[in-house]
Amino acid sequence: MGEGSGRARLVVFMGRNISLLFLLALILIGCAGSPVFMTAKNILNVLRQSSVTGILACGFGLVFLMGGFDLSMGAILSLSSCLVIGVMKSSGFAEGLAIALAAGLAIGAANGVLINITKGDTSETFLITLGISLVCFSISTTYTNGYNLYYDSNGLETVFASIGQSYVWDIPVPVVLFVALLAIFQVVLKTTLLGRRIYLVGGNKKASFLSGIDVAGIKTLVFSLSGLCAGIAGVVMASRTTAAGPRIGEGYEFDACIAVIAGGMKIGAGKGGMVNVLVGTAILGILTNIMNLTGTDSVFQIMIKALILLLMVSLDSAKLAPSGVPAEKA
Amino acid sequence: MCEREGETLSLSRRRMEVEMPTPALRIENLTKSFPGVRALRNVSMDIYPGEVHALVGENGAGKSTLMKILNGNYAKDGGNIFLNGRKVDIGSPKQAMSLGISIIFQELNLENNLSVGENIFLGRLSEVSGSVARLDWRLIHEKARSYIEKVHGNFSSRDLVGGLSIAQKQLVEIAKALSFDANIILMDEPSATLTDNELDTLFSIVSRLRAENRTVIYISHRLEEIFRIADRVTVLRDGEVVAGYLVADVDKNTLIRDMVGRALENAYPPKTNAVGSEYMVLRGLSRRDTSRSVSFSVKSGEILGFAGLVGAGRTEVMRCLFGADYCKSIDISIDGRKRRIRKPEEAIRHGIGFVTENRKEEGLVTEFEVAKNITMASLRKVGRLIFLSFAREKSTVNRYVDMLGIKTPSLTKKVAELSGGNQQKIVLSKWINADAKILILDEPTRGIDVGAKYEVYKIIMRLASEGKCILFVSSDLPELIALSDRIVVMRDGGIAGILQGAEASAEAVMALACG
Repeated sequence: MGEGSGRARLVVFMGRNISLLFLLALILIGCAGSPVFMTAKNILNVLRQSSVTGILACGFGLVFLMGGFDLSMGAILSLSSCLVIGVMKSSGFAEGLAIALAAGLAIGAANGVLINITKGDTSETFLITLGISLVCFSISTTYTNGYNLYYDSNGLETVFASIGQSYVWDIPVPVVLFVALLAIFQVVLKTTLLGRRIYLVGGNKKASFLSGIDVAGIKTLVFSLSGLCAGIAGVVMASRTTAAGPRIGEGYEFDACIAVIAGGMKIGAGKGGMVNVLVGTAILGILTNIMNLTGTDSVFQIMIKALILLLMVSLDSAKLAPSGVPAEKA
Repeated sequence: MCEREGETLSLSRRRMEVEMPTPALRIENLTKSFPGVRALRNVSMDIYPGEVHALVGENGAGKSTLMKILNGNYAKDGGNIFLNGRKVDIGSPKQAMSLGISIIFQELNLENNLSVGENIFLGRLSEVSGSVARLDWRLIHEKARSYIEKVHGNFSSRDLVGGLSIAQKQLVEIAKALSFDANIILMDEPSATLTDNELDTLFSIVSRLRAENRTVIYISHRLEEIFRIADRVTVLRDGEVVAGYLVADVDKNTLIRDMVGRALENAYPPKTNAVGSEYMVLRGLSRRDTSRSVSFSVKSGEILGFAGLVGAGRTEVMRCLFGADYCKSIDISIDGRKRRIRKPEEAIRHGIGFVTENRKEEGLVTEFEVAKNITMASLRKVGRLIFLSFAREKSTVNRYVDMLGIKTPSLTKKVAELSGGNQQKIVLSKWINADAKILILDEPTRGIDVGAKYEVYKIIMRLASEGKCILFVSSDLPELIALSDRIVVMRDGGIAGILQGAEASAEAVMALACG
């Protein structure tokens, strides 16, 4: 790189860290625009509001770096929220929690197994997880008869209520869960043999298979983990809102997807990690917060999110095009 | 041959005349840098109409950069390009085409799901049929047919390109170039995937292009071809033109010396391996797509060569043996014990390694670092319980970098940025580290340069000398004959014969291979 001019190097640096720069820019805008933005209360608020998306994005990020999409996450979230409240009412909190998480794990595993059976590539993960999301929707609709379930917080199940509503050293529990998941996944990815295998499968499935890596097993495992994340997110959401329904998770898979892409992950590149998930979740959270503080219309907010997604995707493809490579303009 | 020499002579006479013709293509002081690399330094050359000009050089010498500049993929940093004496600026591949420059890339640029005719006129279909509203398919295919006839293609304009052989696809590419009335046709290693018969066809077409006073720039690693087909040759090394010759005035050793910058004593290392006792016996391997079954055995320390035309089923047999593809039945015993191999994982556990023919797709994760690629088939060895030991990985990788002479600026370099020879050494390291006792090498020297080939031969010889069994699949007969102890010749999915190393000659092998 020695020969590149200062300006060219700056361009390369910005290209590589576009997500981080974007996040900084958002924070600056927030600070300039609203005096309450940088208060501790608002920051914790942003974190708490983003934590459900963040927990989903952890799982989505794993699938994404292995070269796939998981569009069933929102539907698994809904199902898990229905199960946790429904089963808790009839049997108790522990049973509800166990069944909600097990359902998430099992449906995630079903995603993985189906994708292995069809020998599906990236494009097929779209269709199969989409199909599974419909299955989830019909299960939760059947289970709830299509109604929303409510949990009246008469202090019966304090543990359940505390998942979404209490604090550990002033930090909301959902945020603690999100950060814990980030940390665990990051450690697994970066320091374990399993993590290396996930990266290798993301980098090149054929070469990994021919090098003796159990590609099908890794796929199933990663989709199971993603399902589990959706299950956890469902429990958190049910506890925070004390309500559940077959549609409450609708659209959340797209938020997770936008967060992962805004964080700078590339599909199937076998690169990036939970740092990208954190940055992406923060971008999405702060953006939403700024729009809420400025009273932006909620339909318009969806438009802005879509634009962020398109912007990130187009910036990425600009880097790939031979004539647009900033490094070569040196 | 005699005819060819006559042509070369007449050309040299022409070149000696005082009045030189205007070069069809003149390149003057062309310079191109990428961050950290000077890909081309003051490259100048003249290429005349009606000549076949060979461009040789090791990987990384700058051949492809030069081609991509001529095709408008890259912008040049400095220098000038003249076509027929007129200075031109080539801004895009489309512009290159309208200037009459056409490039046939190694990985052919055809759409497999379209017909030959559609491919030839891709993007110009409405132009050809003269109406945007309705495409006149009869006219399109008729016009396509005239170009197919020009290249003597034995296929119809309505055939799907996906169903053609690689040689036929190349003809389609050439037909496409002719349809643009390209005067300068660049061919990037067109022979890499061709059999000998197909190569003859290619050469006769190149000769015809020359007879029509078109200019062909021919890039190849196989020097024999250059002597058969080219009029002049330019040698590139490290982005500079180091020599230019009339082909008639130069010999192979001189070219190799110019390419690698030193003389190469022998093309092949001496045979030092000692063949031991029978190690692996394979009986009745039968595949889904052929009724023939294959049986052979290999001894420890033996290099067992596999010859055959493209499509004879060598790669398919190796993939079955390795458990990468389904096979109907197979009976393998390794070191006296029967083994079942249903997937690569099991093959690796039983000491088999597989260097595939296309290392970028199946052998390497090219976007990853050197280290991650070397340890990918033996991750347990660099792990402690479930964790990676980075220290152990680093020392493992350092050992192979020293042992095999892998040239990389650092262990964190992306494999994609290394030369073909170094990439192949990384694939070999991967299998040596996985403790492979039986190594399948499928075209291990394809697409790597002369100097690196010799190093790969040395590694193969060294592994055999250590008692490893080598299954050596190669379409390069000289190297196969020089290294192998025995040669299995395959034809139509079955074994046509097995030759002892001593009795193997190129003629004997080809006689069996062609039937």
